[in-house]
Amino acid sequence: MVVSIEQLVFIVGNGLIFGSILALVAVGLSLIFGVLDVPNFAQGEFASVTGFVIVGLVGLGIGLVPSIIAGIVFAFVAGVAVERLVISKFYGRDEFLLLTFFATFGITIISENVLRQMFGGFRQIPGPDIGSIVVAGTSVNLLRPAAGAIAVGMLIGLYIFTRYTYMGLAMRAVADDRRGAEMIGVNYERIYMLTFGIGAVLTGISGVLYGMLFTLSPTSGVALTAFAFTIVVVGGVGSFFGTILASLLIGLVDSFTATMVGSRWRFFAIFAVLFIVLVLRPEGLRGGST
Amino acid sequence: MDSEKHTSERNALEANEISAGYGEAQVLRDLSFELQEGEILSIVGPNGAGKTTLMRVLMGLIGPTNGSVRLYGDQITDLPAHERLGHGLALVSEERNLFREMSVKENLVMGSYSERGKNRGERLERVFDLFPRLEERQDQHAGTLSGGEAQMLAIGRSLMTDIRILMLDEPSLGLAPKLVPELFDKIREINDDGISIVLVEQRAQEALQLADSGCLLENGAIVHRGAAAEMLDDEDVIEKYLGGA
Amino acid sequence: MSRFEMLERMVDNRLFDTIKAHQTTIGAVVVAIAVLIPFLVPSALLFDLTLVFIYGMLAFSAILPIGYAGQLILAQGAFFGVGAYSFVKLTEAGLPPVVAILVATVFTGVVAYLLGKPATRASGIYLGIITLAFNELFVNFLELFPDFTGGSTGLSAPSLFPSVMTGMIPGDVLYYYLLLLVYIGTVVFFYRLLHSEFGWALLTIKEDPVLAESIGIDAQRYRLLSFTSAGLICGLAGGLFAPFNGYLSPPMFDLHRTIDIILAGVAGGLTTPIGSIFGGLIVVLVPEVLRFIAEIRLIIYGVLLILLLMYLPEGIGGWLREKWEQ
Repeated sequence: MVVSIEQLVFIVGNGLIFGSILALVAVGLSLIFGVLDVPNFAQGEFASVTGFVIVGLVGLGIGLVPSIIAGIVFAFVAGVAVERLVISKFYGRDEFLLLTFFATFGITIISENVLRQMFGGFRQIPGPDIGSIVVAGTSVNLLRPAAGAIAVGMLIGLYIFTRYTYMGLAMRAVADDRRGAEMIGVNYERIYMLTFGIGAVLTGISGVLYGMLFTLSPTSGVALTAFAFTIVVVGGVGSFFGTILASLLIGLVDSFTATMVGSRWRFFAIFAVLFIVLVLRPEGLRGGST
Repeated sequence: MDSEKHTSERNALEANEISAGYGEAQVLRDLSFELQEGEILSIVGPNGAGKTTLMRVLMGLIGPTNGSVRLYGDQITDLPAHERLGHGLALVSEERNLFREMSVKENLVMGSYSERGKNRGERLERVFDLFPRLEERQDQHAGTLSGGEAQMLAIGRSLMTDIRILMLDEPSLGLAPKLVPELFDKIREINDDGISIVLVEQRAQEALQLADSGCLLENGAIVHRGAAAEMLDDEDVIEKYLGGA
Repeated sequence: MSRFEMLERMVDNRLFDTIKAHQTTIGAVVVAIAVLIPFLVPSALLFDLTLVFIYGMLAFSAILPIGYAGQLILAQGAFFGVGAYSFVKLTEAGLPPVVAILVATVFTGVVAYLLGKPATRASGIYLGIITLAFNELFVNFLELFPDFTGGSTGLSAPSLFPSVMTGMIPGDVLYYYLLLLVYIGTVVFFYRLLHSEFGWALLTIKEDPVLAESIGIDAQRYRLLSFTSAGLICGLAGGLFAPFNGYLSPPMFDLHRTIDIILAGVAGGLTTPIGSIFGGLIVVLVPEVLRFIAEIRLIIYGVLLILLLMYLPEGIGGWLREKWEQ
């Protein structure tokens, strides 16, 4: 298999952009899993729901920017609602992991079918026209690198948030030792709620970017969830940089498979990577090293 | 509430007939004591006497099945832990409950969470003065600290807000014996700054030597209360609880 | 030993004991209904009721690993598919159907063993994701190799019964009685297995791994055994499902199927073997009942799933047991 320079640029560029969008879903999942111990199978739904809300609002004639803002606010509210209405009912229960996994699967079924009823099939968010440039002989819509840059910007923002603000530190503290956090005055139930809201917003933003670069469908959410679980497990649960590295790796594998092997093989390749990593290192790539 | 507010000015912390337990197992039975403002009170007793459960009830981490807790005369029995801190009550637990994946500095900063960093610089300086080792290790992960350093950090973290009462649950646990006198000196220093202290210890003799008054806890009930010095002289107490030393 | 007795009490199936006490009446009524059903209900419903027995069997692939051993396994749909597809491939290769079912079962067990060998070193959500990945890989494999698997068009499966038999008794009635018998056999087998030392060992590993180790239970070995057993029961169910349904395609074995299977276990009660029949009834009949609201059927299904987890965490079996004891 011979890869030309043009193809390589294309594969790597696309892989990194897709990878950084995936990172937003994975980081949201990882945040929620780290703080609440909830393996949120509905994580990707925050992306598809946000995307479709924006599609719907734009369809009603509302401008793109206010629609995006409304979509993101909706994501936050949806995240908080999921925590309050569903997840909080399981606190203190035996088998918390199992119960919340299946409950969030139930949320996925609901969300997927509500979207199907309301929007039907494939939709796209009309992105702004910001021009294009020529790279290695091909014209590239600037929206693509811009989307990647926004995703990276969000990740940096999250990093700063979790290192330098009290709320961010409190999230890490609750993830680390809930009782310790309680003793120094952290209202952990409030942190649980906010974590779900923030995790949903991060993933919601990925839905906005995804909806502009690719097409949204009612099943986009499940696909993104599958990607995100793969990434979090490969990168090591609770590791911020591990998650980002794994996102880029998965983005590149996906881009390479889609371009060189055929898009039918995309999921096969991703799950094969996950499967091999886990069989070799059952605690993830970074597991056991700490 | 108002009518009860000024009944007892001198008591910093008061436990009235507390009963508590987990599920069907009752751990504490009708337990009462009071901590006077500015003093060190040592609660000593054998393993399994209910000391840790008592600390959790006082901090609001678990609810009592019966009885009440008062802080400077105010009813606080139903307040959650995060609100008790605002009233100046802090607990350093037996497990220390440090944030192991966070740096020493971040642990201390989190200590000032309930006041959102009010006087943070000043307080940080005070903690570093008290425990210079923490300053040296401020960028290290808390999970990598030695037992003694971890205890310093746990105490330091609790000093990051404006506390008036500090409860210490078995602070000497897991420490090298030669470090214990040093730790007790630090507790004395904290007390000298005007912070009342509840010290729960298995090292009964050393704890009582440090304390102003003492309580003996056995099978979830207080079996003896008095001035610490008197308890140290009481033959009966010595024989039964201080290993005849 | 008191710890063992405690664990025993926890799963002591008093419902079963009570039924035993009134064996003659309750038993006679249940058996009579079960035997007479093919003559009382229309053929479409008979098909569903037969499917209930298959789900009742499959429920044990959740009850044993998840309820007893505390392993989050999410590959039941794939194991079910391995059994079903193997049956078709083996009969195509010339094996008689009955033998093909047995070989398919053993083959699925071997697949589960080979997957479980590395996978059971992981636990919690890691094990869940490994097995979920296996499930997706299997479905992908079916779609990517159409020459062997029929791809998304699927495969048709031969009947289990020779035409001489189906000429005398309708095929759907035969399948009903066969699966009724196999289901009863499965319940009896697992009831005994889970109330034997094997069941206690699994529960001990789940509740208190340190204790398990200290009394000499080889936790790793038991985890692998429980994982492999889940594969075996799914394989058997798959081998029976293929001829019964007559047709196989990849979406029948995807993650949704896996969740349905686990839901059958959860709805019936993860620590009450006899509850599996109720789990099967729920998973099969609730979507049927909701068919009249076709469009929003799955939305309601999702809501019911969440409500079930919230309000009946011990499943119907657990709930009945509780009522019975009062």
